[in-house]
Amino acid sequence: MNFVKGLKCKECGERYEASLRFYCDECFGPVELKFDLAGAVEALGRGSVDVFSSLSLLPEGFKAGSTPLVRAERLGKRLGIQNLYLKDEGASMLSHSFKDRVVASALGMAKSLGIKTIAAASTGNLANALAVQAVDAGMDAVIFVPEGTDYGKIAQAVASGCRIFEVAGNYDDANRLCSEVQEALGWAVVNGNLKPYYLEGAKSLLFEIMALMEDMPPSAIVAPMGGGGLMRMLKKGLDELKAMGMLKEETALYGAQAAGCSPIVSAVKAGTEDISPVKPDTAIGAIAIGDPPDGAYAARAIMESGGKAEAVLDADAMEMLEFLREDEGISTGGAGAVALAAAASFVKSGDIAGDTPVVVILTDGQSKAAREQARPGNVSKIEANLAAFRAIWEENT
Amino acid sequence: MAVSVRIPTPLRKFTDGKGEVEASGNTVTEVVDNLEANFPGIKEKLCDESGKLRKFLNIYLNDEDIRFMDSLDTELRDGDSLALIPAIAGGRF
Repeated sequence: MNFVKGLKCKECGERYEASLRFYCDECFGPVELKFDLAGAVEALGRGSVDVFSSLSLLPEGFKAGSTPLVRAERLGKRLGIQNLYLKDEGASMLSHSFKDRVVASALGMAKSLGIKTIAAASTGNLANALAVQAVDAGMDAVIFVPEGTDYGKIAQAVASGCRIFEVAGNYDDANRLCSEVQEALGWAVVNGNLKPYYLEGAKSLLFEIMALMEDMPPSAIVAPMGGGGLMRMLKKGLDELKAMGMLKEETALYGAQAAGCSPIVSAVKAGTEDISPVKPDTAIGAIAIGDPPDGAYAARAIMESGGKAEAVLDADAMEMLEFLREDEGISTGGAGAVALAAAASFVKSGDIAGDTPVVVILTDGQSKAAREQARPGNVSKIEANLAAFRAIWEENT
Repeated sequence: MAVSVRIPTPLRKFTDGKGEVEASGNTVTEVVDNLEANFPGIKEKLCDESGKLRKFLNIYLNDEDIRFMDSLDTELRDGDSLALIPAIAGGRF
């Protein structure tokens, strides 16, 4: 059932019908979906799986989501967090990242509009999520990635046979090209003109956490930030739960970025929503976004919820990957590692009390970049020929 | 300096539906004023009351965000290309 009331500008409040619109004609502010929350609760039941799916625009039979919420005792002990929980989006069954959720919510709208070609700009995870679900939906996917993107990181997109454009420059450049193509050719773009629908899928992550922790709501949720959309939607989800009378205690939102690309953290620390864009300088590609489109709202979400933001060094994040594997047997990507390193720092500084329930969102599975940073000694890089194999084999035997 | 300016869809009601127009000025500010002279009402959509570029609109000069240069004071050369792009379109989740 659909409880969408329409679109509303987050800045000036102008209202629009639900359509392929993502910004306001009056002030260029982003528009977002408004729901009939009371109607949804009445029809589907407060706290039901159906109400959460409906408010996240997830289609019936959605295969992904429902990822594990892992109690991480050993890692928690190491980091000084007594009740540490990890929301492991790397276990999402379609493409191993939370992007499965947002692509599903965007494709629902695209299907209803009869769209055949669907595009996205991506640093990797979105490319895979879109490629996989577009095949299922009978749509052609076109993906824009920044120059130097590891092809292994977009393996599912490559395998799907969809068109991929490797754009000279960084993610911000690829994304701008994608948005210009959208404007010029009238394409549907999941993180462009479908963005109001795309974003809503992310709330399902929050709803799952809160449903699983109903008896012990987290005092803090720590999430990595790239473009800021996830953080923005965690707050929207919390606000909607509150409006439905389902939030017993306050949950503060904490944001994490890599020190080499931390425009949102800088804004929060300065107590402002004004984001000054930066040129990314971090190996953690998934969150290397210098001009975060939802940065202002991510900053607002953190400040309004009573949370904080922190930037961490790539090296500290990489160390977290090792701790996570050693202590919990979980592999994640660099973004989740940044969130973990920030969580440790928040507890150390006293911003998060170490004895309260804390959830850290691991947004994707292990990335190629992370593997390269920490290549085990028993793995060798090799050219695909017998001579290279023999040289290594004979050297080691 | 004569430059070309790409206009986003919502502002084309000011430019007779044109997606690209010619304008002149030595700086981005002067181009904005020139646009206002030719297409009255457009400046109010580009800039807030204090004259600052609106928060949700970005301007690119030859594919570079002017915030990485001198913002509205950025100097222009003959033949430069400016693009007005809604900020929300220019980033990622």
